[in-house]
Amino acid sequence: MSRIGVFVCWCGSNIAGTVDVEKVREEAAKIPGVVSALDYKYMCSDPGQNSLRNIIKEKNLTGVVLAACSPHMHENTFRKAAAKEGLNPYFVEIANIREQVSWVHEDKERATAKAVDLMKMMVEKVKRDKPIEDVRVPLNKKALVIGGGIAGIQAALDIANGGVEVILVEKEPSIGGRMIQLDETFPTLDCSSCIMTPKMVEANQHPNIKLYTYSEVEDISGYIGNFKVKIKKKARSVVEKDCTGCGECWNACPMHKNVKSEFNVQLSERTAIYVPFPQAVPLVPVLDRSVCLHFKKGGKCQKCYDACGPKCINFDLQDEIIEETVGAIVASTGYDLMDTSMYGEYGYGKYKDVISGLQFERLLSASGPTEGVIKRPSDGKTPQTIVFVQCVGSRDPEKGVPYCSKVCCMYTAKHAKLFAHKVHGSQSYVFYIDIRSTSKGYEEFVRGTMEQDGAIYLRGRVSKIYEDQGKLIVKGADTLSGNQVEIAADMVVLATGVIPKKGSDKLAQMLGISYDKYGFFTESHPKLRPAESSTAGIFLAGMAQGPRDIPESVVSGSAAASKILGLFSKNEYEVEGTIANVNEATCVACFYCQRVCAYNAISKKEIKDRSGKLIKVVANVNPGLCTGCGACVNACFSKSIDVKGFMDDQIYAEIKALAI
Amino acid sequence: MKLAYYPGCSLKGTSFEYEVSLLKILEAMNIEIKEIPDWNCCGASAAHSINHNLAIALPARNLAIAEKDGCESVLAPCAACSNRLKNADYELKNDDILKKKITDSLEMPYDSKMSINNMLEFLIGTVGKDKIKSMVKKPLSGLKVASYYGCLLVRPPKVMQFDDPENPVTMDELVALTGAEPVDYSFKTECCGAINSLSKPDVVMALTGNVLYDIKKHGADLVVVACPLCHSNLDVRQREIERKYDEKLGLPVLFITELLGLSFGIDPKDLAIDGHMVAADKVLKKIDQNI
Amino acid sequence: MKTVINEQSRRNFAAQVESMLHDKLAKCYQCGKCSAGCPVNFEMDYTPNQIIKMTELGMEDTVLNSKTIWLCVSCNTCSTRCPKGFEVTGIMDVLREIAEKKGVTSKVEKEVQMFHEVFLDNVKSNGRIFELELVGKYKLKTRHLFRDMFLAPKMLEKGKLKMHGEKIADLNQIAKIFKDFE
Repeated sequence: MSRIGVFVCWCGSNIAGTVDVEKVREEAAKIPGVVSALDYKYMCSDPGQNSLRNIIKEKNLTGVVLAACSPHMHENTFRKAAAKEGLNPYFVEIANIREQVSWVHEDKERATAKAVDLMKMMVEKVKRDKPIEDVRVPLNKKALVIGGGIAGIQAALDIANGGVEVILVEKEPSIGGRMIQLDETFPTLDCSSCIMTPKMVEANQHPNIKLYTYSEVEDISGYIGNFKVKIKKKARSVVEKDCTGCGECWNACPMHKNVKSEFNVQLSERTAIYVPFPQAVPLVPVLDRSVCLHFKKGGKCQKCYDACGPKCINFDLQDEIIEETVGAIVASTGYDLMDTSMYGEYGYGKYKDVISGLQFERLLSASGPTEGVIKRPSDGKTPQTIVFVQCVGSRDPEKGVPYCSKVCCMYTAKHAKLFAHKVHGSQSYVFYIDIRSTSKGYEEFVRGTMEQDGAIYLRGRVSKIYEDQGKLIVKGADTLSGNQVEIAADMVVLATGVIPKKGSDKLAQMLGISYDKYGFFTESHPKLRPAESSTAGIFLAGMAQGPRDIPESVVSGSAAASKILGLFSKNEYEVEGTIANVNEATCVACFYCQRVCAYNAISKKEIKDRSGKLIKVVANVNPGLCTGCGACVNACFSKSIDVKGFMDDQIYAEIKALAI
Repeated sequence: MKLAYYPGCSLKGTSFEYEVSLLKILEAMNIEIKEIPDWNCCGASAAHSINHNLAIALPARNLAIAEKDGCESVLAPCAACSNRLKNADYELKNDDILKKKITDSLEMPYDSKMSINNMLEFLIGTVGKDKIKSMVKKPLSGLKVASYYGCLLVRPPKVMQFDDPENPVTMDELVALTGAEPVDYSFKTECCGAINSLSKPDVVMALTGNVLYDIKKHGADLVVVACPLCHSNLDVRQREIERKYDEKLGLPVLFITELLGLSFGIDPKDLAIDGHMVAADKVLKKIDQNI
Repeated sequence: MKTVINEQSRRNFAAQVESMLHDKLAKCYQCGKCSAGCPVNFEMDYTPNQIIKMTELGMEDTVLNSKTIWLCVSCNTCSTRCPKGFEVTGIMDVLREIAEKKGVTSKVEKEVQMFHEVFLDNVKSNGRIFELELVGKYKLKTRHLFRDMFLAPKMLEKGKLKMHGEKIADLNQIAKIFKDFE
């Protein structure tokens, strides 16, 4: 005998503004089987939930229908409340009269009628609900962090310090990401290497962290608690455990004029066998076979091998595939700068002295191509006048990206400040549209650059940059004084917009996580769940998610780590029980369900008798992978598979409810 | 392909050299074009400056006539005319209400079926690089030529759909085909002052002066253009600019058709080069000496 | 410079401009790139971005009587580089058209305005431009009889100034076009 309780939520005026909630309640009371009908302003609130629990208890309810907001919002909330009163949580159904009614319709009468219909459907559904138990999935208490920049390193360290094993995979020969390319960081002007290298060393030496550099994730399958990962350790041509990092090999390498250094953003050259920078972690070189003479010209050159003391260079080493099973993953693959050369009017790529913000950072850096002395790439002279252009590519829906890259206002102020400190008597001009300096000490930092360091800030974009007799002529605007401003500069630095690292979209597809149209990984909820991706067990950290500065990246790494440590604090992970279920008696083993399953959740199961003889083969659903999408239900000819909580008889009952 | 020819008012007037040299090189290449019968002024800058509907209707009449005539492609050597014709075509294609208003007034249909080309598009696209290269009998080796594009050939990019609006190369490619050396400089697409030539001569001289002095700084022997108004400003006003800024220029300004004609071996007199205000004698002598 | 906002008239002016422009004034976020690249900015009283903002503020008199709108050479450098795809050249056209239709004769750049008017009159009577007539009428109107005079003899000698103009055959259709849209 059904004893159903219907609760209609006002959601303040969010629902009640368009839907006559009292009418919905009245109609609910008329339905046979409904023993209680209530309406309340905020069902999700404490008093709301309490009234739900009281009525379950008082009226001995066998099922609950909430006519309220989307199940995405509060299904869990109400299920937990019901469970507290001893009602199986799966006997709670939600009629979405907010997102599907009040938010999309205006006509009150018709909206109310639709809300009543939706409510009726859910009442019929809940009458036919069967008890469902959540499935428990075993957890492999190991984590994988993809990307060894500051966010990934922080996540790895926090997870490792929580007693959990971590695998840290980094594409480049060394960890450190973008932060290790920086000179001094705002607003404290801390030397980036000085604050980062200890963390890098700790990550390399931590007993709980296994570091794979010059490695990429090749393949991922599985689900939370059980991700099967294939990591490709690219062939370094150097045996890591024997290498002492002495540098004899790269000193001996004859290829020192042809290859542009990626670390120095093409401002200098590197050898074929190289470490990207002197403080690389691990301090083990990599042999770039695409430019190495040994590999390109038939094995003759082996100068590095000859120079190597420990004899750890091995040209025959191959790529290695390492397989690991982990329970959780952090995606922290970081960012690139946009292609600045797309702005023909700025002359990047045409004029040597027009450079990007990251390139200027390398010029400032003591480990950079000019050892921290600011020199013009064209003739090596010291610039006296530098023009900094903000918002190149950012806030540009026409040609670039519409969003703000967040860090450029601050790093440009830093650049102008450091330039003033390094070259006395020099002059900086900064063209900006707005100044975004929102965190602790940021506003004061920028004002300092203007008031103490003498940088002239001009509010307006730059229209054109061209060369005239060794100088760069910059034509910009100052909208505050109403002027077209022309400046003859020795160097121009373009604060170029940030985009997700190349290849991050392919990684997202491999991981099965969402990303937005710019390639940034999407959070499960932009406000309330910023550390989780759209897929259970995969967490996000750093710029891979969106523009952010170092403190925010560090925090996001720690947040992802805390989620993982929380997950691993239990021994099993609970998966919602609303998954597919096979009736093994009627299953004919045609496996059409397996063909249509997008999640590879269906496998073959053999049913044997007590003597081990095979009776039949049937389809079997993997509870960890099944998402309850129902494709298999459609495909099955013998009607042997159904989704718990959305059984065929329930669906038919919902449809019939509309016909009444 | 049936080619319609829209000369525009300047080619019949102050820039007659452009038409003379164009017809001469077309004759040499055996290419036939037909002048649009009873064509009218496209309205130039005056129309769009004070009356949008007129600015569409005036060029549209010419396009409708050409389309009715069965033409598949229209050549408008004047950059401004090509800009106005392309703009009319663009707006009529994208605004049905406007299209009805205009075609009702013209009492002629128009269905945007033709391709509209400026001089450079015509030369590179319709004629083709190979054909032009095969016509070069007198390579202009040693001649340093600066190509001046100005505004209307390349902007606005979504209407003109031609070359790169910041760093165009088409004219430079044509110059290279003649054997001459294209000269790069910074003011390739900066405006010469155009329409305000009669009403604000000081402004025009400042703008045109900037272009000419930049070209001179980069060591060119001459300037080549594909727009009668640019030609007029750079050629007719050059002497005044020299006097105003007290610095010699001496840069002959030729139409691209004249430069091509010279490389084809056609006599300069047949190309109306003596119609220019800045004498091209020195340049012509240099060409002759290099053969 | 001060302006007291009268929301009704502000809205009327802004709406008129927006409907002729087929775009919203608020789209412009005043970055100034248009003004930075404008080749004639140096002669203007207000920069292009200021004109847009003043239009949004409803400052009709100031805008329609500015030097800026008539100095604009429609080179399209601004629109091509605008990061919001705002038609800056377009708004100059619109403001000039509004001024012309309202009979506002620019006090500061009336000669530029006159040139366009004389040009179109010439097209109306001939169907094409008869340069000598155009220049002649313009000089009479502006009373700058001797400006550029020194160029005339050489131009005549070179054959650049034709002595007669050709009228097109179908002048009636031209007359109709002008009647329909003037």
